[in-house]
Amino acid sequence: MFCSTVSQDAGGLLCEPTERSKTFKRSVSEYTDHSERFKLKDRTFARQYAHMYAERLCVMRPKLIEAAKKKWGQNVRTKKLFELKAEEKVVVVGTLFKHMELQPSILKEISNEHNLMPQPERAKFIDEADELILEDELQRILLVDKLDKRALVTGVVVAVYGMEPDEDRGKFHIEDYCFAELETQVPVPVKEKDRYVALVSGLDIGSKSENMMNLQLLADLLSGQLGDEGQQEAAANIVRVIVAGNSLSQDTRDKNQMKQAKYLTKKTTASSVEAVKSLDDILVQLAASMEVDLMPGEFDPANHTLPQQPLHRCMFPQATMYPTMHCVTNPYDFSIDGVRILGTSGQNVQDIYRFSCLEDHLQMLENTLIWGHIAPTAPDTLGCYPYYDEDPFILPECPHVYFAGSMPSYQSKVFRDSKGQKVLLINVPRFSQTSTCVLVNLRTLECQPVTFDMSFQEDSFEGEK
Amino acid sequence: MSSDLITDHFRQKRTTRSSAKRTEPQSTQQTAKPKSVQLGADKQSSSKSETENDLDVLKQFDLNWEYGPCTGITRLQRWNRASKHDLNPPVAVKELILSHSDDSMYTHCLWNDYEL
Repeated sequence: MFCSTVSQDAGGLLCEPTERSKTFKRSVSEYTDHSERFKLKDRTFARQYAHMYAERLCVMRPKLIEAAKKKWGQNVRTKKLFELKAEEKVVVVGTLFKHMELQPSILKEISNEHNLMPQPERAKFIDEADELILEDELQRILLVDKLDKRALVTGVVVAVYGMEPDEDRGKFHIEDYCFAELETQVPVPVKEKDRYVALVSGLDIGSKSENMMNLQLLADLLSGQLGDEGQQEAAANIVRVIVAGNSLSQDTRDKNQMKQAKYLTKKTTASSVEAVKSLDDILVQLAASMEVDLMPGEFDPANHTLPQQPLHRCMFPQATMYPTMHCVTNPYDFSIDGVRILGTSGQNVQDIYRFSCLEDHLQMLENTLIWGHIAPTAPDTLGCYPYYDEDPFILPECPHVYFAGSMPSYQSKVFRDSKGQKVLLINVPRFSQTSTCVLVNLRTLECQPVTFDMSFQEDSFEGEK
Repeated sequence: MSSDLITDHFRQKRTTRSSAKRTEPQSTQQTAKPKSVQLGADKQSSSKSETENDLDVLKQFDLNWEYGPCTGITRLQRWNRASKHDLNPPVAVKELILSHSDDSMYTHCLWNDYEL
């Protein structure tokens, strides 16, 4: 692991300054970008989202039929909803829709007849009375039995095996269900040396509780200015750092300022301007010595809908002078040294948290992998661009590493699918709260957290007295 | 006032075929115009019915559920999307669209005039 390569004696630090100090060259890795599909070419918003759902169903249908045949036999019949006959056991492929009473609806809010107050803020919008409905191209049907409606969300494409009973038309009684299988993974080439990728997220610069000291420590560690020669040699093996969203804090999004009259806010600058300058100072230190990928997050000055477009380079005048600085999309898909890494800034997991009963963020991340779709709740409850001829959130290839940023705590797990393929799942925690970044070893595909702790204890000063 | 029908003020739109068959209540001012249209219709009926056929083919392409939703995108975009998914949309439809690429009746879907 990373720390084991550190030399045990600090002798290197406790000696006379020498004329020549050892320098270590940072390792170079092969990088390929696979995020082209997330970059928006045209911006026509005058479209309905029906195209996206139709596209999703069309692309996922063959995968689901294949998975269904594997699970329930080659002879099992697949039918569309309009072809269903009563008391006939068939497989139906469709998109799930979860009907939630508590789902915020703008129509209910503005409707005069209900005289409703705006809905209070809630963490979760689930309720016991929620219903699961299966929709295909033409019809929809209510689903009963077997499927855990509390753990599922709208937008997941599923194949269900069951029948519509004669006495209960309009409801489909499920016996079994399955999701699409992950594509075959491209095998990782064997490496001799350890190479690391650093993942950090939730820097939250610009908030009252920002942690600039720990951030500076992180920048020093990654650029090789921290530690003795052993640690520096180990840091030279970190080939890339990915800042996975929320580099600016939620406090920079000042809604009150937007609502105030123009004459009051004319002379004030937005707090995000100062925050972006601080972020640029940190990024220039990182970019000067290694490859940096900056992903936008929920509170960064990028577009709100997924996929978030790269932050503009004019915001980072110092850092973008270096060719190693890259502003990338959210979600971000790339491969480095043959390892396919896919990740988001966490909005997809947060939205699943709001609309399902699950509490474990890692379990939700695993579920998006099982369902074969990065953000199934887009466009229903998660803002999304109205695509018409593709759904870029469908997993095209099974990644080796799959991460989500801005998570409440560090969690990691190796997920094994039915084919025995391994995927490393990582929850990258918020740096402002945990001061933890994650290092992923590209040779062994393991990860470890690195925490920076700067707490000065009162007792140590008393001792000196 | 009693003989003042709304049809006197708002000219009823008719297709060329049905206008030849129907007799409708019209004020004296408007009798001249529909009759001239009817006369012209008889001469050009053959070419007009061709365009009607073409438009009908395109309408059927729009309404076919297999190729997905049709609103908000051009017919060519929908055709390309359908062929990308190996749904084999008829090539004749594509030719029709491309040959009338400047006419929005051909290129855009049936509900083009209606806003989102």
